[in-house]
Amino acid sequence: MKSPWILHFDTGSCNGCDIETWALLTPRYDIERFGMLNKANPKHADILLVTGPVSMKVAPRLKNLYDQMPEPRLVIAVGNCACTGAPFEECYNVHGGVGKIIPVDVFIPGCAARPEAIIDGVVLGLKLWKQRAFSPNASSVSASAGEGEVKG
Amino acid sequence: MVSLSVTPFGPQHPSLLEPIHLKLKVEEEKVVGVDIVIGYNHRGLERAMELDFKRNIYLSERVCGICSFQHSTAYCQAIEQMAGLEIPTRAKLIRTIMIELQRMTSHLLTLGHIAEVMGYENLFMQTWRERESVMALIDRIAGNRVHYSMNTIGGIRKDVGYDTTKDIEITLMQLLPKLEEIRGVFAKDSTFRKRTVGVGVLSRSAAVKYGAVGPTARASDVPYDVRLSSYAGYGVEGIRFRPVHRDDGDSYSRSMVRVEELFQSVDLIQQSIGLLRDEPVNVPFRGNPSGEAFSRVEAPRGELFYYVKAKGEVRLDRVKIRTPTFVNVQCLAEMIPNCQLADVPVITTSIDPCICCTDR
Amino acid sequence: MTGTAEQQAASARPKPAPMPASEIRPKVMKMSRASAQLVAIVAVDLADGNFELIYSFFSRSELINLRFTVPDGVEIDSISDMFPGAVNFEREIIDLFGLRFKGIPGWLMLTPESGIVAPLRKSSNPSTPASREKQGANHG
Repeated sequence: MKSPWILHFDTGSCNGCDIETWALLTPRYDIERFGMLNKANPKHADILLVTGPVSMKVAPRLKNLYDQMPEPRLVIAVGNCACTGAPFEECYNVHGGVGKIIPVDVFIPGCAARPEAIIDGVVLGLKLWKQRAFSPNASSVSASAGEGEVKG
Repeated sequence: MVSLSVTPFGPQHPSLLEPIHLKLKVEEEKVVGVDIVIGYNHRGLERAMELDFKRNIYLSERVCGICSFQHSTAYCQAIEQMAGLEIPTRAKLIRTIMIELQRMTSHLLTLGHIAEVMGYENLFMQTWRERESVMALIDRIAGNRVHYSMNTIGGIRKDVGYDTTKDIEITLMQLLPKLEEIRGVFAKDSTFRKRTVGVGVLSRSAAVKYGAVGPTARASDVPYDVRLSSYAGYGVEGIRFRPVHRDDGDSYSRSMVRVEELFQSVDLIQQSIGLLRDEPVNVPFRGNPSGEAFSRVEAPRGELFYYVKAKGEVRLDRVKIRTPTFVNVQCLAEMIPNCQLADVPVITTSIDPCICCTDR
Repeated sequence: MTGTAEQQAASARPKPAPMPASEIRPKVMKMSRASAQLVAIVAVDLADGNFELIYSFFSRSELINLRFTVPDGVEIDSISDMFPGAVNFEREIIDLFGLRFKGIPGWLMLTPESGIVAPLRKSSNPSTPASREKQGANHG
């Protein structure tokens, strides 16, 4: 079984969390040891890492990306604005969080989310994804980062 | 018969960090025209910033994560100007130190990014590894790597102690030899030079016509640098500074301007630390602002312009943010035509686009 | 007073009266001949049926702000032939304020499908997409 490939998409964030996500590829954090490969084609991607509160113009593209991903797939929302839309939730062009467009499995809070928290969330996501890959009935399993052991 | 096809580039693309859409008109591998579509990152922040002038210190930082401190400095400067506040020299110098530290992280980011888009993974990893030492330093000073929350109207919220300034000096001393190595690679490496010399040329007249700013302008022989106008600590007695500029206007020049500015930033930080004196770091600000102000700072990508109009209430009448990439991205219409399709990511990255700033 | 030296000098000068829209092209032409750089075009809703347009230029180490008062509904002359970089500013003002510039299309930041019209006007009260959907469901 291969390691899951991660696709990163920015839906209108301030870019802080995106830079922290890219910093994971660099030697100090080095997420490749978990099997994460950035730069995937949506049709090969297993995990979708989304930042940003989802602007109106980008929402159809996000839905399109999600629909193109084959099962089992997982969505990780990185940063406060991807989780809830804060502090932009009252803005006129913002949907208010990734959960308003596609279902989210792991929420990583922070503004910007620290690389350690993102690693924590991605590791949790990898566990969930592997569970889904081996037991398709477990697609109702979900959690948020920092909750501890996943039961399922 | 030559056929013209339109190749879409973005908004989701492995080499792009942010959503921007380029419609490239291609004739047999050569790009003959480009339509730039932005707006994917538009949140409507100018309207949100009209609601509460105190909350805007927090909100202005979140316009952009890479130049967050420049935004909050420009905003606080505008309100201070309206209120006629003179902030202490120590606050001005600390603002300068944080501005230059952020400039270093931004330039190292872009240099790594442009290496990455041309497949030079090793150089990408090297520059971002050095960037991490500056990010860790900023984390120790401010408590957060991305949004520092150090600015307030009237100066800096909390003082930076002697231990911290010693920490900054030691970290920069250890970083300098690594930066020298990086400079050597960018200046002389044949792979890098082959992909950037003569690629994406922006002439001087085009740079002025489009109103280009920042390293994009300074690489095209337009020595436009807002730090010359002595905002924050740049006008303090004893600070010596001259803008870096080159005249080839290609992607190589733009990258080399950023490399040289890394050393300029280290020098400015060391000068600022040397001039720090014991005094408070903020002056009290009470009441509501009224009037209007034009505030400009030199963000890593160029001139950041804030216009704030207030009527003596908590609500502001108008906040206009003009970011550097808003003007620089239009220069792509000059730089991309007549290049090869494979050069498009390199040219786009060489202007250091910050789409969250452009769209707000 | 804080701020840059040029800002202090600018604040010390008396503010000139705003000019009518017909003066936009002649005054901007003067700037173009002086090789000035366009910094920004700022639109402000004056809430009395008029809009103020501030054209900021940087010329010979100082910031020059040209102010024009434009009534609502008037089609404004574009300066994009003299300053190609003005196009994005004008398109953004079309989207966010609902003003019109000759020969310049809108839809830079907003899309027709979003249902948002001129959100930065004082008279409009732009709501979030969720509440717009609810409103649509209530009316539909």
